[in-house]
Amino acid sequence: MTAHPAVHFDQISHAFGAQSVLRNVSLRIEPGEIVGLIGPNGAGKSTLLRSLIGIIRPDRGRAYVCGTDAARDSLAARRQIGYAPSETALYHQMSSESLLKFAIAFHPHPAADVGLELLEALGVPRHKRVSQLSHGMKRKIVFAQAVASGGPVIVLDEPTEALDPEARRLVEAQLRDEADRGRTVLFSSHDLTSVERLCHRAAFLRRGEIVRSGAAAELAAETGRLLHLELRTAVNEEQLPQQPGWQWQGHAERWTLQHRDPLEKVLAHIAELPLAGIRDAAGSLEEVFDTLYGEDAG
Amino acid sequence: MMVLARQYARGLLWLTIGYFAILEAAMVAAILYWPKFRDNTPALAKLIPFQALQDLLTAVQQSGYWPYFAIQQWFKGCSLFGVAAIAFMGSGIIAREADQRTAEFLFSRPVSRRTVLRVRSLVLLLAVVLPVYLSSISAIWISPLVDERLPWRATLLASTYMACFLAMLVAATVLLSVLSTHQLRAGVIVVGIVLLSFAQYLIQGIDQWSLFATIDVWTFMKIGAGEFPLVRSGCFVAAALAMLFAAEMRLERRVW
Repeated sequence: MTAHPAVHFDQISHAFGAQSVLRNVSLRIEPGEIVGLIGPNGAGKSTLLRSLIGIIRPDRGRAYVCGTDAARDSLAARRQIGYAPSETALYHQMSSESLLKFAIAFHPHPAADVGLELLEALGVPRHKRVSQLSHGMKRKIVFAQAVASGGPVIVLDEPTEALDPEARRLVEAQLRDEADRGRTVLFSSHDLTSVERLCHRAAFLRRGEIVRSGAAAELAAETGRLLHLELRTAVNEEQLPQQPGWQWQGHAERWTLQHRDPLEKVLAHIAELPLAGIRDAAGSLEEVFDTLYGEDAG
Repeated sequence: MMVLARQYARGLLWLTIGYFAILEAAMVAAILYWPKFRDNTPALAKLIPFQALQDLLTAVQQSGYWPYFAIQQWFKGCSLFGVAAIAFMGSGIIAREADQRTAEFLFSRPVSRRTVLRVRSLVLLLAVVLPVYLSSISAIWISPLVDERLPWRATLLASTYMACFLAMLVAATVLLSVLSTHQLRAGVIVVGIVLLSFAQYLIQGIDQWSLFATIDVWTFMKIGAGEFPLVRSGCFVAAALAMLFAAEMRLERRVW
């Protein structure tokens, strides 16, 4: 354990040619934290993670891993990171066991036994060639090697993508265990439910900028709540009750209300509508996502 | 380092064995053909249209088995099959990682790109030159079958000279592979350059500028006479090191 944050992005900016993909991104992650990066495709999540492991060198700003500058001393930074890329193109002629051992062999404190146990728990055949495995199985190998690397920081790009629900639960449980042991987990994901269940904090990226970050529950509370209404007859927006901070979306018989008021107060205001059904979407990251990205996410 | 070397060597193993088997088979066939060739050399010389190849036959007529073996084993065998092996095995040394999208996985490991390149280049070099030494040494034992003998010292020196030449081609291939995103492209360029150089060797007047002029029969005749071309070998090695250095620099900056 050090006095440094486990991961620190300090005003990172990066562009691919004329296209700016990261703009002044700053984020501190303390040891033992689990942080999820959320954003639509092209938001800059993978690029940000790659700046930690030396695959890209940011045009401006610095990324630090346990106090080590990831650009200036990339090797030392990478020794502290167990990294799982989103890409599952692997050395197809190797068996899953030999690939795992190869992947972790460069780390100072690899834990092959942990990796092999994980492969077994996730149902990956150890002696089968990688070429014979499905996309989901390859994802499990990539995950297992990142955990088995033994480094204090685990960085995962889309770790739950293509996993079945049982494997997803196992992966989440394993990451919680790792965080309990003091390891830091930073991952990108589109799986908002997973992020909500797992993360201490979430950061939302939009067009290369962090537009919101904080504890999942706080973010959901900030964004407000959603009520989905189904009406017996069609109404237009002018016929709907309006209050400060209320936003209506929808048409005819189906409307969604975004609000920040106590539920009783809202119900009192909408009581005169020809209600056929009403559903309260409890504050969730999905709502935050919808609010932040709107049409971007589609 | 050993993990990297093992992983890369495992991928080259069967190709290296195949390359050695072809080299050995061609060499044995050439040795066994020697008595017939020796008896028909004057007639063969008349049939060859290229001056450069006629000169090779003249050398064989004058000096016998050593130039014949040098042409068959080093000038023809090692350069032809060696180049094929280098193009086939070496073109993928880095370009394959881009081709198969494994670059991010490999280069996110805590190992420097320089180390990856050096270890792989060394393994590739061994895969290319060890068969040259092994088949040349085996020729020392096979030659008595046709009542000829090959001197150990000259055979080893000639193999070493050929190894230096191949090392230069290995380094050129490594550099091309680092610059390429497709293994096939790098391989085709290597083979193309070598074929052009061979075509150049067959054209009188510009033949002395061909790569093959540096490994022709006259060079091996000198080695057989005890004159090892130290300067030229040094140039091969220096060129190889310069190209490897350039490849390292390029790889360090390459974005995946």
